[in-house]
Amino acid sequence: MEMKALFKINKKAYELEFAPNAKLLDVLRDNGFTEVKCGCREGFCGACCVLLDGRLVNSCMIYAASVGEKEITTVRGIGNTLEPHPIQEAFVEAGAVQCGFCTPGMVLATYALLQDNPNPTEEEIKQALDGNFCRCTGYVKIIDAVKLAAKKVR
Amino acid sequence: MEWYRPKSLEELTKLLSEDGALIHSGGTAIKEDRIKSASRVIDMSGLPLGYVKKEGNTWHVGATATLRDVIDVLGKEECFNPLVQALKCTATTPLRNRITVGGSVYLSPLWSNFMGPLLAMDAKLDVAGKLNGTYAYEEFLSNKAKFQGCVVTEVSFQADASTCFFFDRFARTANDYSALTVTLGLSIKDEVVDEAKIVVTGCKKVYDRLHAVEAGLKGKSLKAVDPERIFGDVEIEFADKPAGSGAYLAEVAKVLLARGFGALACVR
Repeated sequence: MEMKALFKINKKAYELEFAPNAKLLDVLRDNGFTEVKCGCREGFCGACCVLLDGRLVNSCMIYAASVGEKEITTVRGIGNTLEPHPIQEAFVEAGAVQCGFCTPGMVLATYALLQDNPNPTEEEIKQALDGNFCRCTGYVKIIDAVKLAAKKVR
Repeated sequence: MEWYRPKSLEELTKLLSEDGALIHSGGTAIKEDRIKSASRVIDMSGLPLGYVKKEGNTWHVGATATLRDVIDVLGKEECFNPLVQALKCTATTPLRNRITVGGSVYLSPLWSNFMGPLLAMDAKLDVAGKLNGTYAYEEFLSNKAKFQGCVVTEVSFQADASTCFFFDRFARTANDYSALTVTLGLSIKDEVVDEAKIVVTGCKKVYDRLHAVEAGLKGKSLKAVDPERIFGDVEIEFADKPAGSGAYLAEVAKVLLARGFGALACVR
């Protein structure tokens, strides 16, 4: 039997139907939020990351029924092609995007980091992005992008 | 299947009195099959248990506080560095933002690095359900089957500036599960060891409290103890793991223990 609940996604309310054992990742993607990527489904790769009440989480590890009234933010919620967020601009300028599959998670991890710590050290950047895997760039450009984003956001 | 979200401990206790409920806290350790086969899920997220607070000498951590909440609060307290260090190398940032203390303590999974520090700090658990009450974490771990159907609602432990702690772990990579952890706590009075607490986790017995070594250290000056010798005879059995054979891991544990003891001796 399907469940119905109200979700707050990118500052808008949606009433969505889902199975009681559905993961937040699937509910989001099935309802058009395909910027949330499906990678490992085991909480390792970070491609499915979203912000839940401002905190970075793996949406593949969260049951949709448990979200309640928490605010969900996907990468589209912080900026888009027409109005990109400075972090998104920084990723493009630093050449930190190759296939782009990990980028939504990386951008949100950076967003969450800079909210708490606007001037992170390289070690703090590595720690904050420890749950986001990239199989293209080797991370150097990504760390450059986070440093550039920190400058832009400051 | 129905999801219940109790708002109070009374409501939780009432729900627990009916059999067959699956407890959901952060949910990261619950496989989809378990949810699928459950007829009732009790979601703890509505309970007012997300706190990390100090009352007198005792710290109280609510079951739905996340590992991140604990790191944020206890990271500011010098004496909890080993616990914070243990939590910081548990899983990854997005998972630490979701994994709850209650779930981790109840399940005590392999990746739960803080079993050692909590045992070394003589942590206590508040339990709701048929065995409603407060229990030593060690008692809980030794009798886990007895607590089936119960829920951990709070973890508490004391901070004592006279006790120095050391924590370390062994894993193949920084992001890998720990193959083993070692925690040492030494309370020093008048330049001699007043109390020692030494815990190794990841071994065949899940955890091993080195009571014989602890007793042998009591009353001794740290300068008079040779760490290589006191841990040289310790026998801890490990199963073979991807990180190494059982015999290899036993040697690694001894090295980490000796290193930890040396580090604590230097601090004093």
